[in-house]
Amino acid sequence: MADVIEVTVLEDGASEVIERDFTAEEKAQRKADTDAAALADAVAEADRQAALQARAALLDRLGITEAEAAILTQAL
Amino acid sequence: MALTLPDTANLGDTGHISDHNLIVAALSSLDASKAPSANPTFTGTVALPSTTTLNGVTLTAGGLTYITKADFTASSAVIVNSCFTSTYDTYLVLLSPVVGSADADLSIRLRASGVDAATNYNWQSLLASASTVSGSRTSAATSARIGTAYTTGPNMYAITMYGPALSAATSWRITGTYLGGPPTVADHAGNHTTASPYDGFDITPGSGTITGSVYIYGYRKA
Repeated sequence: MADVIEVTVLEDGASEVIERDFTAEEKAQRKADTDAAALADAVAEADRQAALQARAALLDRLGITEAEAAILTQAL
Repeated sequence: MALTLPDTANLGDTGHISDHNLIVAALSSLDASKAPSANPTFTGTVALPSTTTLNGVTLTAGGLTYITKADFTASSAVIVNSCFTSTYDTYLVLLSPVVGSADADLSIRLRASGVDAATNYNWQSLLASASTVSGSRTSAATSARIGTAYTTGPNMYAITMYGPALSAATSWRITGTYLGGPPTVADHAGNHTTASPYDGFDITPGSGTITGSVYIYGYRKA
């Protein structure tokens, strides 16, 4: 099965359909995209873990549990 | 058989018995199978101008004009070239249905003369599932998010896009849902801030392949 389906609208309004594999440039671009997405995910996950650790440290310093913290943030 | 009636034919007047006989003879010779249908049908295509007057009533052509479509099976990318032109300002790109080989995010990039634009995409997401509503924003990305191609599709996304072929920024609104599972709202508002004209787009899944169809329509300006 080809990687890409490529449709081009011609001047007379008809469409030309080509099925082909990725070019070397497209392959490189896709790898760069995948790497960038993986990096973004890793950064987001690191930020989330850091926030969780900071929260846990704060709760520990205040001497309250997660359930008690939830009451504090509950809309009344 | 051609039937010609006198201007003053009166069937109740025996003084015009010859007219009467003529009409009876003509009607008797008619083939019932060739009589006009009460509900005539037409099969085929008629190209209408932007407005057509019929019996004093102005008929206006539909607001959406079909441009092209692409059917794809197990594809890693779907590219459509030369679908955005100066003929229209606003387009409807209908990705319906689309199913992933894996649950994968779908992304779109504008392209011009066969080259993808890989910077300056921004979008805001609004997701609602049961009573859970969430939002998020992504800026300065290398592509724009459409939604997810779940394996449990068919999933549907309608992209209303303004100005891709204009020498200005492009903006769009995406409404989507996952038809294969519980009804879910998956909407996005996005833009591409590079002020350049683009003639097409490229849709790719983050992983795996996609199967489905994409239709492109232009909104008539008048």
